[in-house]
Amino acid sequence: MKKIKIFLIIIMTAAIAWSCSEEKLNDESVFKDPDPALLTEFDKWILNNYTYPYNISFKYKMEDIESNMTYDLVPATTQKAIAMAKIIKHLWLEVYDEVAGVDFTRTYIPRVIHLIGSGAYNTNNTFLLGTAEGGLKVTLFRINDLDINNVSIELLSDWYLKTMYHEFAHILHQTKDYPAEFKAISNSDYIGGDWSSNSATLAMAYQLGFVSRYSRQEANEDFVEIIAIYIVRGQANWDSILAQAGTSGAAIINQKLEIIKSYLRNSWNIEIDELRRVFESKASMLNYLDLSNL
Amino acid sequence: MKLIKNAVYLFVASLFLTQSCVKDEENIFDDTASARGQKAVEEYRQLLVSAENGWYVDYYPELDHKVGGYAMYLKFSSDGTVDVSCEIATNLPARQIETSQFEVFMEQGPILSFSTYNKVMHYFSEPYSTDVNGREGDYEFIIMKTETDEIIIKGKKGGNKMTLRRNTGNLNPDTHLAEIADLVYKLSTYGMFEFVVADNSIGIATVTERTFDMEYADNTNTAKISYAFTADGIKLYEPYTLNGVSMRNFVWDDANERYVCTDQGANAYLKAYFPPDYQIKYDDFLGKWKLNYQPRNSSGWLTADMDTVEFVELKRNSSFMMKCDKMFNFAGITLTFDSRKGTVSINCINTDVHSSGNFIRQCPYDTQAGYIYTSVYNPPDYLGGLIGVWNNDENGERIITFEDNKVWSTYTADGILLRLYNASNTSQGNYSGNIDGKYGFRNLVLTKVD
Repeated sequence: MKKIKIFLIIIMTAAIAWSCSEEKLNDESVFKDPDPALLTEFDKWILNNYTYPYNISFKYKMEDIESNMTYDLVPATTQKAIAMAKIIKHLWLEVYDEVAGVDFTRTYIPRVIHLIGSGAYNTNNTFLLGTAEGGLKVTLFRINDLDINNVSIELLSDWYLKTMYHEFAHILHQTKDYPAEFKAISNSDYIGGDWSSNSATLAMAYQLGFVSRYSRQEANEDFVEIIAIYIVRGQANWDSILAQAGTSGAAIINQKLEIIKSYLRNSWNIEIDELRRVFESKASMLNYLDLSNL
Repeated sequence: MKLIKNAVYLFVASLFLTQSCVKDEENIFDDTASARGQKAVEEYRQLLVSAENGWYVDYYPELDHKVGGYAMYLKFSSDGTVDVSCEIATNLPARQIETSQFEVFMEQGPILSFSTYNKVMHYFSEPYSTDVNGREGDYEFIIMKTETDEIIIKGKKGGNKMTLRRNTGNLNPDTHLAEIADLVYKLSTYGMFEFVVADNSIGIATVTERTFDMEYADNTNTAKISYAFTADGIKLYEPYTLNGVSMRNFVWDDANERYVCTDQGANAYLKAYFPPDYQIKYDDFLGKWKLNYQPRNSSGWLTADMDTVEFVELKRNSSFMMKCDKMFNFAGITLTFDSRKGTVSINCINTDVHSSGNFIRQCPYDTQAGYIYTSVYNPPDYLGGLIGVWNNDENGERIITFEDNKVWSTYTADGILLRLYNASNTSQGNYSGNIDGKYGFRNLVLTKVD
């Protein structure tokens, strides 16, 4: 009987071993590089200035599925996309390169930048300037409204750069969290989605120790709004915010700024004042940037 | 017991033996799915580029072809650029060619995308803060079907199906689109058509943005039939079928004022329709009229007068400017035209801009009570004004008098008064700067000059 058992075991083992033979993998990748013949000069410029050095996909051609399908949108013109590509590189990527080193930039910068020609308009008379998804992709709207012959750092900051510094700051704190004491400072004044209600005014936000209305959404937004506004809006604007905030409001803003300064210093070895200085020095060279040609 | 055990062993073993796999599954295609996708993309691109004289397409914006189509010309080049022009003037001169980039790629199916901004193509999809959806036109299309001379595409968001037709006849796009635009212009004066199939009137079609709103004679139903203009008539978005007869292509017959269906087996036409109370066609208003009137200035009503005025097209089939150098030292009085009734009206409109930067506003005027209607005409609101009434003498003199249109309920307009308004809509007083200080007119009577 045992022999039979053994015999059966052998058969079973054989049966198991005699399983499907593996198909050989095709040695050709299903992902094809784009046909070089179809690359425009701008495409090549993007490869050399965004993709190879930073591993960023700079999408200036509109892709519906990359955008929010609930909005009706149109693509950016190639001319304006070229201008934006140069502005973003000059006033965002290279600022971090200079302060924290190119390795830092290419490690943490969002992987996709998507340009949209029109605004994303809401029916309540508001529109989106930019969105970011999970530190991976930044979408910028209203590119076609950019007047290449008449750019000002104020307009660029308001429309685009503040958004980019804001989103990038999110990536930093999501990678290394900031001290819990920051969250405690204004804990009772965060009001979530109500920040945009008419009763939550800008003056009120200042006096409560916030630098914008949106800061009142929650602590993370508060945190990144301070970073973005501190860097791109300049000292005069910052002083004006502090003045409008009054003694108690200004004290709270300064307390938050100090936590941010030491967080950036200790966690990232970055001085925020250095970021601002480099940003401003690059902004002062904006007029020397050729926005019309590659 | 042993027997049972052995039976179990045998049973289990047999399971393993029966376990097989379909070892010799044949690939249906020689290539991998992605390789085939790549190849298809390349073939579609080649096909698009292969039309040396480009393609024509009737472009339908808006979801579910709610409005009609516009003739568009597309020329794809191997460097990834596409030239686009359209019959209508949009945000640039009519039929100007604009160049941008296109892509063909795979999503669930092959997609043709106009991926960088093109003033012509994206005019139909541009959103505005005041109109967040814009005209809802598509610029990404699923390629549904291709033949050598025809490509059927479907808007990704709007779902409208459109056909790219190869320009085999080498029609010059500017000339061809201009021909279409001319026909559109010419036919824009017709607001209604009677649909006649097999000698039976099936209903009345009212035109709104290249769409027939059908009201059937038997009141059973309504329908919207959208269409695009061709060089000699119209082509419906999709065939319209009645009693098994399919109709899609119509040619304009000028002598009989009708679109005649040219499809095989169809005996149908859409004949220009004027309701019984219809007064005068747009084109018949154009030209010179005698105007009898009584003017006033700051010292009061003056003696009645008569001058020759000229009706000039302002917006085709929609409005006129009534010009008269002897009466007005500005553009003139704006008259609105109702294409369904063939009537003209004088509403409260800023008819011109004065050199001071103020608007010259023509206000309906109750000359007895001394009140004016000041809310600017903005259909469907603020329609108050005077309506022209024809003496209805087809053969004799054409005479039009003006009376209150009964929108302004508190007072009865019997004249017009010219007033200045600044940009923030604040009155700057009567426009006494007009010729001889005349800022008020009443008892208006028009007589056509042949």
